[in-house]
Amino acid sequence: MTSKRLFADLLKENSKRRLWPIALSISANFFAQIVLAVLMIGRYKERIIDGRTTIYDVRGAFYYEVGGMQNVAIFLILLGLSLLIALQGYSYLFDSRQTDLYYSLPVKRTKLFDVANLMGIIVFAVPYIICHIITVFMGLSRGYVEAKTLPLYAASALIVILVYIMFYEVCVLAAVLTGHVVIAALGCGVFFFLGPVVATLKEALMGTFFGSYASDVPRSGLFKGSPITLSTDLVNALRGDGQYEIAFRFGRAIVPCILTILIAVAGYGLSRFLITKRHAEAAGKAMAFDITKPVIKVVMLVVASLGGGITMFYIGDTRSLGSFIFGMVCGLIVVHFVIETIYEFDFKASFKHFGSFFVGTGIAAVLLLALVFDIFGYESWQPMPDKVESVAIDDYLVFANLHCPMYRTMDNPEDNLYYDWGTSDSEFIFRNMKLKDMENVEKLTKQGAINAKNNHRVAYRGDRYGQSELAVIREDGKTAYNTIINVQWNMKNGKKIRRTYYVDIDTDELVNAYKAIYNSDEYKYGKFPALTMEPNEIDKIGYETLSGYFEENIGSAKMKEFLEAYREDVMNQTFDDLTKELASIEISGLKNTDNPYDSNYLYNFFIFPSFTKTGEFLKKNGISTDWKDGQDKIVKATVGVTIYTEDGEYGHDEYWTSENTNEINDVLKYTVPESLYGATGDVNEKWRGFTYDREKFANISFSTDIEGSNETRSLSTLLFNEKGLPQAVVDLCFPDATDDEVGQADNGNVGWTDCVSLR
Amino acid sequence: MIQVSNLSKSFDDIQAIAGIDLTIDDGQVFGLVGTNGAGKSTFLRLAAGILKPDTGSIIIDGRPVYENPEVKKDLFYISDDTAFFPNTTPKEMAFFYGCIYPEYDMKRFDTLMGNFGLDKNRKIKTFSKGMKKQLSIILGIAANTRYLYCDETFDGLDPVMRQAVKSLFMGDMASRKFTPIIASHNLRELEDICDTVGLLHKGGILLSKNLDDAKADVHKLQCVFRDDVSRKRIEERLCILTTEERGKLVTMTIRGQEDEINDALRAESPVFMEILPLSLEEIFISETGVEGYDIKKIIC
Repeated sequence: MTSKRLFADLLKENSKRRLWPIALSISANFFAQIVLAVLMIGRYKERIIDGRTTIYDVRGAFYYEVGGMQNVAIFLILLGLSLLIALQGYSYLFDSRQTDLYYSLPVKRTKLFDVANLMGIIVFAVPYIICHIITVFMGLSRGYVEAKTLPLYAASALIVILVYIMFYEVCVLAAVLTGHVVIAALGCGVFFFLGPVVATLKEALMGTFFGSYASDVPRSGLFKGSPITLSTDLVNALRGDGQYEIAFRFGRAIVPCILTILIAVAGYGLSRFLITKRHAEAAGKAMAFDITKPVIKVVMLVVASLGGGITMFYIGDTRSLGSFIFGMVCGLIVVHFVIETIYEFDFKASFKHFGSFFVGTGIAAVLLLALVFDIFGYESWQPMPDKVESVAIDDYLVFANLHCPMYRTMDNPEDNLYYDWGTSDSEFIFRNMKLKDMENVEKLTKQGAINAKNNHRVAYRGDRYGQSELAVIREDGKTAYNTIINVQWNMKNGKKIRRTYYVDIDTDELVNAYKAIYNSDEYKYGKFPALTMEPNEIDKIGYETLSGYFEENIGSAKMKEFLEAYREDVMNQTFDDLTKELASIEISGLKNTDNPYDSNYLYNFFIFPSFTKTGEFLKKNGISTDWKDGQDKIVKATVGVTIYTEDGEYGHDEYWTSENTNEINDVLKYTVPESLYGATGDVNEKWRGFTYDREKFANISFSTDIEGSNETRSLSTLLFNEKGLPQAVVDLCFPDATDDEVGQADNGNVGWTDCVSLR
Repeated sequence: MIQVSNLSKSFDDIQAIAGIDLTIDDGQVFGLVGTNGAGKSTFLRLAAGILKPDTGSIIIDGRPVYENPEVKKDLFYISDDTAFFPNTTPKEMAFFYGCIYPEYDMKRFDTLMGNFGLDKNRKIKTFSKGMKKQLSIILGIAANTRYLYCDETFDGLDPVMRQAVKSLFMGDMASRKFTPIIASHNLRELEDICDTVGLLHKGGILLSKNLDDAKADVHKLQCVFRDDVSRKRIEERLCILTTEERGKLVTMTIRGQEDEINDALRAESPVFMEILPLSLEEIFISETGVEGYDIKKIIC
């Protein structure tokens, strides 16, 4: 009998032992694809008839929700079936009688392994592919899938199968490493979730104990170190609108694809190797290899003790080290007893193997000491300047509300097609800001590091150093700026190091250092995404004045002209200039979408009164340069505030209304749209301090009725408590109360006013 | 031929097999006897290539058995706790083995199933323990392998079936190269079928002996001596292993050639003399007794 013939025969025989997994796979795929398609098609049809959606959106939705990998049901059955099929296929490893039966056969163990392995893939893949084809044809027959997007669906199917194989091989590895089905299932849980748990724990511990720790979550998320992370990366690589383009982005998909294949191959290879080393007598035991027992136990002890510690630390918000240590001890004891009992299937066994218990306890204790006493000098450590290539600093002092398309924060710009919504993203700064002025940067970071070090022992109690006050007046009458600075050192060896500092820019030296940094070209090119954008990235601009909201298609040539003028004005604007004026209007850069009723907001441009070049261009093209344009047409104005109860709960809304032009103009004189104030208001010499001085500022909703338009416009604005405001407005917005006497709004801002929407 | 040398196997702290040296010749029925926990099953699992020896080796026709499919094609292992695939039928099991064993005889399987009165299409899970044992033997016989390892296979078979299986073994041994290796804790069960018996105790082989040789070497006889002087002369002349007295009737187990013993006794002209058949148990008692073991505690 040839080897191939034997393999085929064994495969056929193995299929007879897979009846219930096959039935489960068929039914799961049937419900997750075909039944879902039937349900969704009915809903889509109804919505199209009602005019609530378009065929374009439905095509996208069909891909997202039904035919593509973003079908959540498919993702869930991938996880569930990979686990069940793997454990069922290798169940002979968990039963000594079955192990004897298989291992007495004149067949190599690796061949038996390969047969079970391949059949486990077939059991999922064949029903999946058949259901996928039927689903896509259902979509095609109703026009929800276009023929030209079929390769997208095919690629999606391939990725689903690839992800399944990765999940499956990981589960197979867990089965080979263990000798009991329950322990194997737990092992799968460890492979899938230990990485995210450790990442979460690291975030919690570092974020709790180190004031300067810069969270890694915005960059890479918590779900890392797990096969699930890779699968979500692949899902993202296949994002598409399902209409016009094949959305498989090779640039984005290639790395997770390769990693997925590598994990699948490594899982298979390692399992196949281990099966040759695995003794038959491992069947029925918890762990097939004794050497893995102490390793797993120590890892679990460390994770559980620190996890227990941080949990107790936050329970009841005690934030005491005593609670932390109590949690650690609980975690250590529980895990030791549970693991030893599992290992031996005997509770008495938990009174053995204290060596590994002490090793785990020792490691956890050292880590706790490192956290509490910062024995490795994390807070004060900064890289040597000669090893630093450049630095990026993301501060909140000015322009913290700049928009940037997400594709400019990604490694592969060609991935932009389906990522073109706008966002204000620090990642743009970290990718693009290349400051070389190490001397001035070091002055700021050193001051931040000193703050972090001095406050390390109180940081875990939540007594962090001043976060809220951005600009204060020093005793000598000069301005001091307190700000959070996120720093990224780009090392010459390619590594990137991040820290978050609370910096008091309170001496002339530090103020001048900050000014020098702000005024540098490197800072501005790294801070303002619009300075390096291409004219064809946006199709039109939008802006809002008192007269209304306007969009203009100014064309590529004029856009180029606008960008050149804007760049020149921004580059010429110094930090001192920012302290003297607020932006007069915000212009947004918009990109058309396939949906004619929608567009993507990619960039924003704050236009200041001193922007002569930009102002000229805008005026020349009939575009407003001041948000107050149309003030002369206002016939009625309303100021609305929300009154909160002393408990901080929503109370009621109150209004002031006037049709008196003088009163309206008086109010407008001290009113600024929130977005304009948000750009540079914190450093404005006249009106800084909004975040802490509630007697001087109020969030209001300012509504106007425009003459002849039969329209009411409502804006979220800030009102400044200046002399000249109508008394009724003062009484409404600035009653004689202090922060201490009033409650706290549920949005976290202390104060008694907030904007409300009148319409 | 199966050659076992210095074979050892431990499970955690328990030494199951300790330095066994043994040779099992082809064309005979080899019986492996020992109490529960003596290491019989472990030995068979090692011999079947299921377990990997800690030390030593098991060589079949010059080739190691562990992870060697070519060697394993020559053997079929029937475990004590008979194992079949879940929810399967005898026919499906036979098909499975047919894919794996090159000489698998499906006709023989069908015939034997008929002879034993078993339904090949019935779910095995509905079979009784004895029926499962019968099925295991049928599947093993139909595999046409040179070696058939039977772990407590006769346990659970009724006497008729036991005899039928023995006949089956004899028939196969006569018609082809076939060596059954039967492990049992019941010495009497193996008595009338085994050619050679190995006695296993606490993981070690106490002895391995061809039964004909053993029977030719040890004799049991009853006699009544004329006087004590006559009896003393016999005791001095012959190698007496055990002696039991009931009044004047003396029962002795004597090592030596039958002619030599007869001559010595006749020379003393005893009042009564009779040579009795020797049971396997008595042979082992006599053999192991020499080596200082209390065999009654070892075997049933």
